[in-house]
Amino acid sequence: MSSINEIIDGCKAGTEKFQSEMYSRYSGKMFAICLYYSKNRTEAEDILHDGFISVFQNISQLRDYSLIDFWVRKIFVNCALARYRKQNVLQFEVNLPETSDTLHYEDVIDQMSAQEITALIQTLSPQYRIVFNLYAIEGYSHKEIADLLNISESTSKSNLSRARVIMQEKITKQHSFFRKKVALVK
Amino acid sequence: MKKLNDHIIDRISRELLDDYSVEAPQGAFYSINRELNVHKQERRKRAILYIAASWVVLLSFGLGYLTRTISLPTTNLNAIQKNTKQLLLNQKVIASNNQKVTLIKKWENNSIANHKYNKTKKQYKNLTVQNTNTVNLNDANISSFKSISIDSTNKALSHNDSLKLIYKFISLSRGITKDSASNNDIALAYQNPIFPLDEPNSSQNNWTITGGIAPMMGFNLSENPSQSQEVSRLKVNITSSVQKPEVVVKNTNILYSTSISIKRSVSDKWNMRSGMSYNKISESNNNVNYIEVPVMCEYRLINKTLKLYFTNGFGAGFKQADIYPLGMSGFSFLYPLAKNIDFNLEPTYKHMFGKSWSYKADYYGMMAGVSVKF
Repeated sequence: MSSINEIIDGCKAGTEKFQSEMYSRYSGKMFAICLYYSKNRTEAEDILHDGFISVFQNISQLRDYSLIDFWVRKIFVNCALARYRKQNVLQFEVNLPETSDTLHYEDVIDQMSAQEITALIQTLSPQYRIVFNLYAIEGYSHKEIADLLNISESTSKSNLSRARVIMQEKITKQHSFFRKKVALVK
Repeated sequence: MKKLNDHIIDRISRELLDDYSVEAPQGAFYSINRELNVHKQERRKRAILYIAASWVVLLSFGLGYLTRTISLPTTNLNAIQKNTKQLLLNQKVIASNNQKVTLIKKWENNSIANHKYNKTKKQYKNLTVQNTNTVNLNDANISSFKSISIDSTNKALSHNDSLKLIYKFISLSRGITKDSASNNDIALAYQNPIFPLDEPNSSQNNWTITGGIAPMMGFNLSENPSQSQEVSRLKVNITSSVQKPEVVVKNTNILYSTSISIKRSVSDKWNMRSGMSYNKISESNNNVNYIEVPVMCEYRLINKTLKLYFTNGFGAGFKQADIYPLGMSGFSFLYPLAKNIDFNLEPTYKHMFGKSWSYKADYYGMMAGVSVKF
């Protein structure tokens, strides 16, 4: 297995062998990212495809090799955003009321797997999903999200809040369903 | 049962998804690779078109320059004197009376370069005037000739007679008959010598083909502190690269450049030069190949046995069908090895422009090769 520097240099030179190694190295993680930025697996596969094309075509611009993980991740996030922009589904809702009185069970969410969280995020509509991912997972500020998506900061905040509420509601429902199931078993 | 604050969803999502990995669909790389190859082919086609277009532009300018005609003013000796040098550089001159005067320059190329100059007698041994058997140098009938040229079939002409003949011809072809045989012609000739008074210069040849190979050292001035050390080792590396290239290849980033170029003299001191070079960079144990197409101009600084030119130019590098602009500067030493063959030594500095060029931005090198004039 080649070192990451060799792989990057090989990809810069357009060598298929190193492109394949780069793909093997990053495809798992990047596909996971694609999944929670998309509503289903098919869409995620499309983003994965576009993302790697973009990585191989732009890797010559990467100068600091230590930033490769961050750089690849950013390319995929940008690809996901570009896809949504293209489909014109990022029509953001403005000033949604924030409802924070929903009750949840910490135990439930603590026991959730990455797969379940991904599935939960996938159920969100694109405008909530994107803002939630950018804020909660990528660590962007509302100002950065607003600039990136060309929306206002307050829209970003309200969409995030709404996304959380929807997720909390779904977790609560899941918990109730679980309790009913446990009760039936008893 | 606890009421959760909003951030717990963020935190848990982040923690769970941070290292989350899902096996990518099989065959995805195949389709990515296929699309990349399609893009590569398209870019390669585009690059070939760029190169072809560059050559077309260069050739168009070159042909335009070679075939241009100039009209010279009539009955004005000063103007003739002023234009003499220009006249020498052009193959075709339309005189004001619309007589066609052929190739003053051709005399230089075809006659002078092929004839021996006798230093002792100060004359061109075999230089004669064709179609002038009936012409006396003092005879105005020369104006009836549409063209004159010099070959080696008839009697020898002295240097002065050659000059006289040429200037008389130029004058007469412009309708100047008065004092046509006077010393004015000779004086004018000496002020603007068509033939050198010393041994004819072999650099009269207009076209030169140069080929060579250069070990070149790449460095970046701006990235990290260790690179300044690299710069200071530059001279040592270049020297050692000639003796033990394998040592240098292993330890440093060396660019090998193999080039062929064609050069044309556009004036006594200026040359234009273009060509193509194949370059190989060794960086981070990885070899990268690319092609350069430079366009350069040369200015002659020294014109002794050893000739020295200052060279400057720009060009384009082609790698994987991507195009990178570059600038270059340096010196070109020429030392004669045989008639029309010179040894070339060219210390050169090169800079690759643009952020998309991800390797070393600056290169020093020493091109060594041979030039053939024709």
